[in-house]
Amino acid sequence: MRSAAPALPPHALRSQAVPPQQLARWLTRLLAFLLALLTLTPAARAERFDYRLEPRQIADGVYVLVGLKEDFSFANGGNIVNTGFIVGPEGVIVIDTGASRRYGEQMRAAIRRITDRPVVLTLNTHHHPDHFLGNQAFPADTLAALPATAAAIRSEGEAFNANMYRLNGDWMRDTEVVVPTRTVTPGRQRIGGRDLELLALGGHTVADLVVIDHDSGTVFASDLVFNGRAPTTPHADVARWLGALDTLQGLPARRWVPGHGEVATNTAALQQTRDYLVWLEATIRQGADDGLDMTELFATPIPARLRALALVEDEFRRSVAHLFPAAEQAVLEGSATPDETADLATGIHTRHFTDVDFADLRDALAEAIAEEGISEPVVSHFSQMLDRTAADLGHARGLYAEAEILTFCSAAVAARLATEAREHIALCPLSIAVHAQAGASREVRIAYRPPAIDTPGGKAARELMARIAARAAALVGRD
Amino acid sequence: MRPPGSTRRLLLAGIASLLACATAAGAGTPPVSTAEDPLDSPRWGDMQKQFFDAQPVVFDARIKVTGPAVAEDPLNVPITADASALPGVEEMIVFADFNPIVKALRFEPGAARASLGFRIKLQQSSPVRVAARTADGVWRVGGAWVTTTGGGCTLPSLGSGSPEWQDRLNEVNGRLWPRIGGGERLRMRIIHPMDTGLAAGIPAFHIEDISIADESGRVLSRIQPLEPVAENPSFTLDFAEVAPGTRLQVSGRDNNGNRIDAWVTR
Repeated sequence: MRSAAPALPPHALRSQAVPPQQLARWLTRLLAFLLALLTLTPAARAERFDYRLEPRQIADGVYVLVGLKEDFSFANGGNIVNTGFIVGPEGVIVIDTGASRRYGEQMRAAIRRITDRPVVLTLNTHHHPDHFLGNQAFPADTLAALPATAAAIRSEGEAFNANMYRLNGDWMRDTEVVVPTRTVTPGRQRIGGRDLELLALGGHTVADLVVIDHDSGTVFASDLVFNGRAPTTPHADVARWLGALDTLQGLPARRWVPGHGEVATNTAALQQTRDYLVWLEATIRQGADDGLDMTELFATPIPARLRALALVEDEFRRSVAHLFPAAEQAVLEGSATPDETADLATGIHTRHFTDVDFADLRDALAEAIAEEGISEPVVSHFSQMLDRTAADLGHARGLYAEAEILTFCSAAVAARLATEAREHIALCPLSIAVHAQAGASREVRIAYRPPAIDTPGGKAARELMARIAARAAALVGRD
Repeated sequence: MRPPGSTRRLLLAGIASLLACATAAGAGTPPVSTAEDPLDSPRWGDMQKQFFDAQPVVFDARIKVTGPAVAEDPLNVPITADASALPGVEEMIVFADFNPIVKALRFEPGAARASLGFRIKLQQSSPVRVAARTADGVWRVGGAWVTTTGGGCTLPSLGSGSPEWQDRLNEVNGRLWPRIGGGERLRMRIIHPMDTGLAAGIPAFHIEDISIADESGRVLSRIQPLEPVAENPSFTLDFAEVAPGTRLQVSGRDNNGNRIDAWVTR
């Protein structure tokens, strides 16, 4: 059985050759079928591959089919995903079609049990196989997705399908890839007589579609949100994903339908997804910076607060396989600045110096600022202020051995920012802090938070601050 | 030059087992004979003939093979082969029973810890085995199964297929890290397509020799990769005895004679 597992054609080991996908798919289906024959219990076979889909009404006209918090398997047939539909006065809007033709057909039948209105729009929120392989069951002219999603289904769909046969066995029988032909237009619109809004986001994959039903305050968040199950990252851009979560966080929603896991009535699932992603990204980057091998990173303990997430151990190791090579490459090629670390959650960049004199580093920073042609910084004596106020305000004295904040303004950067938007005045001036830990006065750190806006001016400000920090490090001999 | 002969082989293996049992007493993992493959692979008999014919060989749980139980990307399966629990390892080989090209690499640790991190291509689910030859001439074998079904939403990379390597062939990107307790860790990646020769019209093209030397030119360690090593090979080695702040020279060649030559520093 083990040796009968997946067959990559020999030339898949080499890039230029196109694998004979048809043959591979046929072979894997045959294998999957044989394996299914061998492993299915008579009881399971008697169920005739019934997913037992029970749409749950979560709001007026809004239904969800909640999948299992598992990975694909012969036992679950790929029913690990949340799909849903919205019944409007003029028709039904379907959100994702499940992992197989059988799922799609059984979902369609479940919809018919609830309404006889026609399906007017069938959305694929993104190009992962559990979200589109039920497309065959729905009218082809209702299938729609973001352009990048349709393109990804076209290019990767067949290989996904072959893999799903391997993982789910005969549940997949007769499943074929159907690429959506309609392109969705983001924005607020009436569909099926319902007040809907479509958001084009990304980060979990190249394009992630979020559906807001304004009539009920329901957000179908796609796989940008996982609830109680560890997020998956095979096509993730974590920074972009976190940005998408920011966008979602601001929505006035009454309930959230995650891509996987239970429906939620608050934003806890968004925070949980963010928490995991921030930890994941930082763990992988730190591992690369510290010179760990991938196999060593696999052994990283999962923090207690994340251990309750279903499949977290497996997904973490999968994510290391997805994300570590790029982090490692950046470190080995020197494009990363391993001396400087940035905390994604707070946006704070830090550099740590051991056995350096506080005053030397402070002077080096001032020198680096001067070298940029910027007028002398204003110095705030932060630790002295805190020590002065300790008695009156009742906080501890000596939080730092020493701490100062250097505030400065680059005319060039300021002009760019202000040209982009007058409100960008709020981002000026820039400041970099330098502090020595209490009890360890030669353990000195630089800390700063560059403007987080994604514009050329913001980028120039970030680069300026990184340059100054790196130059100061060089001046104290730690570049 | 040991004469082949099953009696002699068994005898040597038996003696080796006894000795190892004695030294490992209390460790709880004595080496065992090769009559029964702990990984239960139908290919073990062939493997034994191919790699250890006429040489003493035992299974030894002190050899740790760390990798994913399920390979997310079968063309980049990270493996750490660690025989550092054995004294006096002179040579290590890595092979995967079910790969079309079975042997993946040979490693002479020399001054390095007898442990190597690398990535291989796996054609299908297979045991990945590490054999270490100790000074007594005995091969000791450890291993782990790696399944290649991968994740449902992940596709194996088909290699970059980019012409990048033509401009950067044999470029070494590497760094040294200080280790807690002294010494330095070397991590490096070398740009190379590592063609297997199994794809129609693309001949085998792979790095075949890498030496790591100190500043005086003394060779510390040697790696001989073969076709199954992943594209743009990356390696992790630990050197306990090199001085902090030292530079290491990485040199070698591929099977077409293209040279590798680079210095790696912190």
